[in-house]
Amino acid sequence: MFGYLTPLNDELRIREYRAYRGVYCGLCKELGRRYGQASRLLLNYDLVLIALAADGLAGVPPQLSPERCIAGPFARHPISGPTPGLALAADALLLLSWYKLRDDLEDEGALRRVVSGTACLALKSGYGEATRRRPELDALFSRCMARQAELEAAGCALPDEAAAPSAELLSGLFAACAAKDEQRPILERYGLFLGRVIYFLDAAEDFERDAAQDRYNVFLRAGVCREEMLCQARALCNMCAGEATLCYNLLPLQENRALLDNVMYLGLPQSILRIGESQKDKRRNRHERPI
Amino acid sequence: MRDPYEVLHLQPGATEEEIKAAYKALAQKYSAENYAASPLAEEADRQMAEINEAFDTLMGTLRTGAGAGASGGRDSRYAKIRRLINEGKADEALRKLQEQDESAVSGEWNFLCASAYYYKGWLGQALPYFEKASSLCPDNREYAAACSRLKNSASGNMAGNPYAGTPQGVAGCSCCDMCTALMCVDLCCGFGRGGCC
Repeated sequence: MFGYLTPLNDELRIREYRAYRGVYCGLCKELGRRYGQASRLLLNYDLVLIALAADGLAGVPPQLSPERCIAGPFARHPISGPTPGLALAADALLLLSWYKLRDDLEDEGALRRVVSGTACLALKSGYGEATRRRPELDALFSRCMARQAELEAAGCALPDEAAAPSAELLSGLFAACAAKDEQRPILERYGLFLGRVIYFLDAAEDFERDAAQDRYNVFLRAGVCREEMLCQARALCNMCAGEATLCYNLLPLQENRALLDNVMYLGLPQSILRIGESQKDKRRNRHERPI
Repeated sequence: MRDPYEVLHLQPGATEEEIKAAYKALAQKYSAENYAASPLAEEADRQMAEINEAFDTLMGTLRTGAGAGASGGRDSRYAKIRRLINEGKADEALRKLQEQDESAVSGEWNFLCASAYYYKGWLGQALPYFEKASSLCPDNREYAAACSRLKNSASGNMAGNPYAGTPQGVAGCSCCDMCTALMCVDLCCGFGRGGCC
């Protein structure tokens, strides 16, 4: 998906860094347990936030224990065992990846299509399984993806409108993190704004590539130059992040608060600060790998 | 200009009959006839002018639903739209607002439009309407608060930020003053000990 909702590692305490890394690795293992080894290739950082939020609200701390990992088989390091939050994150990740691959199958060039097609075949049974486990999320994702495609086909030139399906998607996904019903409205609005931030960051990052390849990009449709686009997108992201923070502050987190504080107040602003940078620039500018 | 409701001793949202009755009573009180040849004639005249102005503003608001000067100028139609937004029917509220475009004159129209967009999370759309509302009614605190909060976050501020005050979101030594203070204390102690020994 995106990789914008990550902590600023430099500012983490070592135990927080260990916990984050443990949950990240735990999500990878959870994917393997639930959907087979191939699905572990889908792993990304954004869904770690879902696991942290869901377990944080339910009061489940990361179940860290020293384990080996396929990526570093010689040393053991702390990895989180299964938690309800990780289960939700793994299911959501599989569903999201499925829809992303299906989307690529329609839009991308020939080579990407072959890769996506193969991946889709490999994921098919996992997708069925995930749908059975979370039918409401599957319905939501499918609806949002269809709506996004409609807006793109119609050439929507209004950033606020174009971001609506992403907002709805994350709104529903975060609502699924609720430990109690009364938390749902807060999480829905929290996800609504995070979804918008992610959409704007993504569109800003793809701006030049989309221009070169003549693909849909809402800021291109709005007819602004790159500088103007960055300025607009940054203001939009800042406003949405500000609103998301107001929602975040209302969440009764019992665990993971320090980590989530870092993501909200340092990691997210950092992503907004680097708006428009390509993945390559980001890697160059980062002093260290995310994990 | 004072709030026209206040001038006429009325509650915001008063009906046309109430406004007329209040105006009539006050106009009789400050009528020029009562102050003819009085040293207070000028003051009475000034108050009469204020009452006239307030009456005109409120009646204008009632007739058109507008009235840039009327900070509390909410007729029943706007109250209904407000209710729609509170119930979460932002799209319906927007449709109703667009049916009767009063963007140029009414602070409340702009504020409600902004609120509906805000409810939907369309902050880019909401901000200019909030700005217009508070420029039309600079005295309205509700409009001003909403506008400045959004502008504030647009510039990157976050409410309740535990890392606030650190440059560009990166926590540096925010306790520099404290460090300096401790160094001073340390120096003093060192000298003190030196003196003792």
